[in-house]
Amino acid sequence: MMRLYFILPVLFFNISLLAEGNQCLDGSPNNQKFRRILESSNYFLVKEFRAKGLFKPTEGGIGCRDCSTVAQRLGLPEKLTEIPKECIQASLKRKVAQSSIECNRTPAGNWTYTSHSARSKNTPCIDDSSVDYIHFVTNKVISCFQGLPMKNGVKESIDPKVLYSKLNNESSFNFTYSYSGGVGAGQLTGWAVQEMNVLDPRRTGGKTVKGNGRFILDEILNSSNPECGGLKPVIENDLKFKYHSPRKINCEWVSMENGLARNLIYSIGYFSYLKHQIIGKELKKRAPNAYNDPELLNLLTLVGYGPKGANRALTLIRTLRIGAPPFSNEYFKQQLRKEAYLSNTASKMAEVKKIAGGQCRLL
Amino acid sequence: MSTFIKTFILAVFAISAVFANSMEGKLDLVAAEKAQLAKLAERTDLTVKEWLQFVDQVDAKCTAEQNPEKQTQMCSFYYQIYKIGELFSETQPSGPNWEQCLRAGVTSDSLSTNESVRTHVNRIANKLCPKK
Repeated sequence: MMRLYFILPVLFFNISLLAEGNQCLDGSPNNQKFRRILESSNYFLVKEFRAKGLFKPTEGGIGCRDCSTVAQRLGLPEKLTEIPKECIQASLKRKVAQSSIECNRTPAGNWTYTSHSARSKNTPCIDDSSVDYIHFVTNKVISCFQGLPMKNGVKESIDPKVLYSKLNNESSFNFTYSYSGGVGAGQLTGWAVQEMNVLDPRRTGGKTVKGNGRFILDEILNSSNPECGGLKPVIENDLKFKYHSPRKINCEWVSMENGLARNLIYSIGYFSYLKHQIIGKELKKRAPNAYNDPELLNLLTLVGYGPKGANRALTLIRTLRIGAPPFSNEYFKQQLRKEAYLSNTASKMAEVKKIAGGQCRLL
Repeated sequence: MSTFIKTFILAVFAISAVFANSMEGKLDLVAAEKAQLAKLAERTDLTVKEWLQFVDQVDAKCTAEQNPEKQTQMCSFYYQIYKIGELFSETQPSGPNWEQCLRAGVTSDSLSTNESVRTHVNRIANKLCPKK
């Protein structure tokens, strides 16, 4: 009987997905670029994806047959330590009207791209294989960040639910989205890329000056964590190429081959940088007790990643008088959740919960 | 187009312009501090000590302000200038080097929400930081 309770909703969920007839969660069935990349690209992450048997060329449709992803425990007891595939699927089904970029490699190895408007009917199809790949890359980056040193003796601990709410809010996991306000999966901005890699050479007179968050990429490059191993080739030449903007050579930030991974490394890295070096540092100074509450720190960092930037998060520490008696941290969290960006994030999470129909284990 | 419609459109524009101006005037509750920042940015003999005193004053006002709207603006203003304050306070007594100044400049700019504040803070950093 218990099994029936489990199997029936999954069965109905799969049937409902297949009944739609359209095998693309997003994009057009006429544009199978992503499937071709996954079938034949020699790019190292795609090769690793195939080598692990994660690419299933015979599989059609967008059913959730691979939703049995086993959650591995990585030091966060009682919590799911990855973003499950079915949650990514549900997020991609949340329709977001956004302009996007379709990247093409020339035989000489250079990038060219086609810009698609939000109304375009010919964007690449994101099918079940694409979701598998997004799932593979996203969780590889999360696993690499778990335990990564953050300078002041702190080791990073990523809460997949927090990260999921951020990526669901920013791009709904469609890594091709790009507009003036942000680029790719994490909707990266120029400030974030300068902090994470090198400063704009126009500021430095052409000299290579590392940003304040660059140490995070260096930690990844020096990490012995096997999950970081596959990511090293993505970023090992970023210093040499002096990436300081997600708009210079867009495809390095939005392509399936390396753009998705680079974008996630920089986005999660910038989130960690804000959390520990900017917002956490100030919270520790003003309210040490509140600093020790990871949920509070994550909420403030989410605000800092939002459209009003870190200034808004820092201002809230002071105006809400976070940490001041007689209020508890729970009270301050409630106050923070009223912030427009966070309530907007919460409503998008509610939207995706409805779409997932109870299948997303993070919700 | 009839005269009535033209008059109506003009009236709508006029009312929205007046409303926008009054909103802007109402919103700027830290104009005095901004003016003080502009004066510091003009000074050729500005010292690190004076700059840090100004940053500390704004910090204290952010803490003490009782009017919620003014406190929000004061604290937001503080966080537009604090990185260039922290740059000098954390590197005392030797002071920052050129690269530290550049790095703090990027973080400071990313925290800025006002173009003129950003310009003044950059001018102050240029004055107080070592040259390349």
